[in-house]
Amino acid sequence: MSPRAKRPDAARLEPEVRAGEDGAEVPARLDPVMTESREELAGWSRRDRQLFEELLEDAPSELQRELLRRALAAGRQANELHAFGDAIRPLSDEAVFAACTLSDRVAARQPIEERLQAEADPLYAYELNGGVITPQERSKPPPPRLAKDVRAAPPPVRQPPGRSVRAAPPMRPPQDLEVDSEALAALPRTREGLLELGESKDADPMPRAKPSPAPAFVEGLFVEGRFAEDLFNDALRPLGLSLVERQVDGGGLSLEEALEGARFALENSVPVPVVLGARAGDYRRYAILLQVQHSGQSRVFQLHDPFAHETVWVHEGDFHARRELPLSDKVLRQITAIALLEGGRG
Amino acid sequence: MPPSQTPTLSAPFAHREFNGEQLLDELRDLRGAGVGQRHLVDCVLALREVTGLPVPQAVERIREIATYRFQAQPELAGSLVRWAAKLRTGPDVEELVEHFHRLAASALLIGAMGRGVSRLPGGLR
Repeated sequence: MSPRAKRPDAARLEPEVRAGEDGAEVPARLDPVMTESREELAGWSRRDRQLFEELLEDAPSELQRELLRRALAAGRQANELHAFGDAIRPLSDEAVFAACTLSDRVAARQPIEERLQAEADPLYAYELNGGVITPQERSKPPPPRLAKDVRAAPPPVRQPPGRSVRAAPPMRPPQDLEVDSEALAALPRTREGLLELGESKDADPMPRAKPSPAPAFVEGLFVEGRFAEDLFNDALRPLGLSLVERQVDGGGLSLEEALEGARFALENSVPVPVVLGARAGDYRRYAILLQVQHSGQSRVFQLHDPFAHETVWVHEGDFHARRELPLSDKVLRQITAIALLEGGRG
Repeated sequence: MPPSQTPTLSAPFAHREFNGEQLLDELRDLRGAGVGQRHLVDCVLALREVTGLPVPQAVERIREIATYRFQAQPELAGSLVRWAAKLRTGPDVEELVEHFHRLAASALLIGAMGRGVSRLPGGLR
């Protein structure tokens, strides 16, 4: 039960009228953000709607309520909104405005699609700025968001009037190799369901031993950096290989140590799974190091992103810089976890 | 008397993308033809006995493996035969065995990533 106290005077979830810029009241149906919010809420359970209403009531300012509504209109799920609300609640209006508005430094590094999406979705801007939310459970990925014209409702952040905001295309699930889209679509999102994930659509899936318990769970939380170690090891067992997944930087391996371990594995013909993110402690996407080649004193690694279907060569120095990778998704700037060879070849 | 030359990799096996884009293309083709992870693992295990064989015997053995072990997976058998025909030196044989090991390991790991992606706190957005 939520401990949040009801405040009768707090802003309601769906006000019938809102104040316009000139102070005149604007019917909610003419407010595109409210319309979007209503559409999103229509697909939620009654309980989620009630919790969201409490979340709005708990927001300490109208600005925070507005940001939550805009994140909702951008298609965020209930768990993400609650995590976002919890993250920004302690902040002053000035601080939350800064946190949810792309800084010039960050904006300069983002492609235009990312900047536009950040303007439409304050939670996305918050993450691009380095904020981290940790939803307890993702019910399902947000549905693809197509063009949303919000010209009539510029957000409170830097939104040039008259600009049409197009959300960045959602990350495509892989359609080939082993990460098939059907399996992704059917991914259970609950912790209990993780070990029940199906095989790929192999005509004759490999016989597997009973899945070993996920070692990464400790009282409901993942040990930092060990997300799919058990899955990797179940998969590689027929080849006699075993991997250890570790976080990189942020208390785990240093990036330099991680790359040295990767070199060793790759030179023994073992590809290396890595997690990419914006900074240490940010775990966004799995990718795989396929091979390493030497050029004089330096090394270059080939990195494959099976979700975006991208394969790039990355100079060791670019990994060390932790600033940018030659991937189209510029949020992915560095290796934040890595699965390295534990045993030798079987 | 000319100095004896250490055998080196032939061009197809020394190509920069042999274990990169080319490997991924092969993997896609094999997946498209219904070749499963188990077949790739079986292939790797079978090819281990080829390691260390002289080139002619290695070619012959790979063709036998393709013909008798993977008759029901013509795409995989075809791939083995095509590569076997390109073997010229001892290091080529080792490199080919390693190539199929990478192929199978990549398939297994990418499959596991698909199942594990939901565990990433910031995954699948």
